[in-house]
Amino acid sequence: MKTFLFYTLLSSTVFAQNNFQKLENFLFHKPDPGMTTEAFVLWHDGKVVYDKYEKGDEETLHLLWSMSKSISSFLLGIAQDKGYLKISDPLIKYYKTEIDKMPKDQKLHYSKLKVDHFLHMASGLDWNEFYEADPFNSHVVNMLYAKTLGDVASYVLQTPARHAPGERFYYSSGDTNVFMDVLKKSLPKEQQSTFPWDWFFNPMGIEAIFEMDGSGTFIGSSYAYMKTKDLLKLGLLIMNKGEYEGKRIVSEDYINYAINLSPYQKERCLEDSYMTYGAQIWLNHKCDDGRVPFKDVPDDLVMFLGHGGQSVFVIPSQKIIAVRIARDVHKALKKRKYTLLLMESLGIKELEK
Amino acid sequence: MKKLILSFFILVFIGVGFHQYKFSVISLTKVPKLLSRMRAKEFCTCYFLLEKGEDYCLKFVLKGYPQFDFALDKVAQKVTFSNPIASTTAQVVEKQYGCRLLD
Repeated sequence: MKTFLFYTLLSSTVFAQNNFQKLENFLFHKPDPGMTTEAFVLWHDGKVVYDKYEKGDEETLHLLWSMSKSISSFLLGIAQDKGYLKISDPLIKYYKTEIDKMPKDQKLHYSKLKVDHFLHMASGLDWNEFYEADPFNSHVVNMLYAKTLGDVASYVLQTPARHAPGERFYYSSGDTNVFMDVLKKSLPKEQQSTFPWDWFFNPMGIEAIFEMDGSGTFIGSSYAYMKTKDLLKLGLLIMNKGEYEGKRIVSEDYINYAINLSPYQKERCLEDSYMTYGAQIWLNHKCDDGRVPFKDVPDDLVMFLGHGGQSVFVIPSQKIIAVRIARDVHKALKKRKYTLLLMESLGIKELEK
Repeated sequence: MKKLILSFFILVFIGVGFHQYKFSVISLTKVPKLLSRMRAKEFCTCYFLLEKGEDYCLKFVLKGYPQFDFALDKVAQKVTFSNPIASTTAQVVEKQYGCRLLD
């Protein structure tokens, strides 16, 4: 009996190692060119099943860069839940003086914009999001390194229009900072500098840093910081439809809205980007014509993505959350391959159709 | 006729020269300022918030380019990066609000 138990235990250990070996090789030992993984945590069906830290540990703080956008989206959702604003609000409600002073064409464009257009990167502004390619002519570089001294949103709102509101998707950090400024304006003064902690970080036990511009608007596009262990909680929030440890953080309605295909991407699905997009969250959502960004990968895959390849991947239907801390060169991680390996390591080889 | 053609070319030459001068002045002032801002902000984040150490953070922000002047005030949690044309300071405002550029 003892021998039987020994071999059973041994074989299950070997099996477990083998399960994650392929994934570990891909992440740490034989990565694709340009990939550097510093830490990785895999959660499945209620517990962490695998983790590995090449640099730092679960307490290490990270600058989230664009993953901050998803937190900003949650904060906007909470503000709506609490009745401070509506994402369907017209922009002019918050910037009447500024829009009134604009030249005629620009005024017409800005008068048609809603907060929701910014939430879904569909403001139609002629924005330049390049970093490395041409940093000295980049709106985003100028915004982050020059305009943060003052009022970032007013800088973005000087941008002329390129497309009609809602017509095209264009990934813009400027759009995020505009709705973060709207959020600030919608709140009583005493809440304007504390709401991310009061509504989100503290109830979830997250130790975070969130930087502001000179006017007190949180730089929601780029400058939130969180620890590795807390990144997992972002995934749990999606998995539990806005609840964390039984506490309601964001309404289920808002979570559903945020992880569904942008209403402005329906007609030009996968034409302006290779993945689908929700409310500041990347998706593998099916287009209306049946096309999907990553074939054979569940279409409920939700991705929080930040500069350097850091990410949180969530697949609610498979109860999977994967946190990856990385220092990749641009787009080095093949997301379909990575997701399929995550599933394979957990013994999920084929999708249930 | 010769005079007219010559005047035309002189005007074009002056025009192009002025444009280049204007562009150079913009580049000479804007680019070094932007570089000092990027370095100050990134170093402040790397050193004071992410606590990665002075050598690592300097290497990270300079990315192999030469450094002219750098002043680190650990007590005031402040860092200044300067080059011959521009200088920028970044400081930790409050731990939860991170770093902010001061100029």
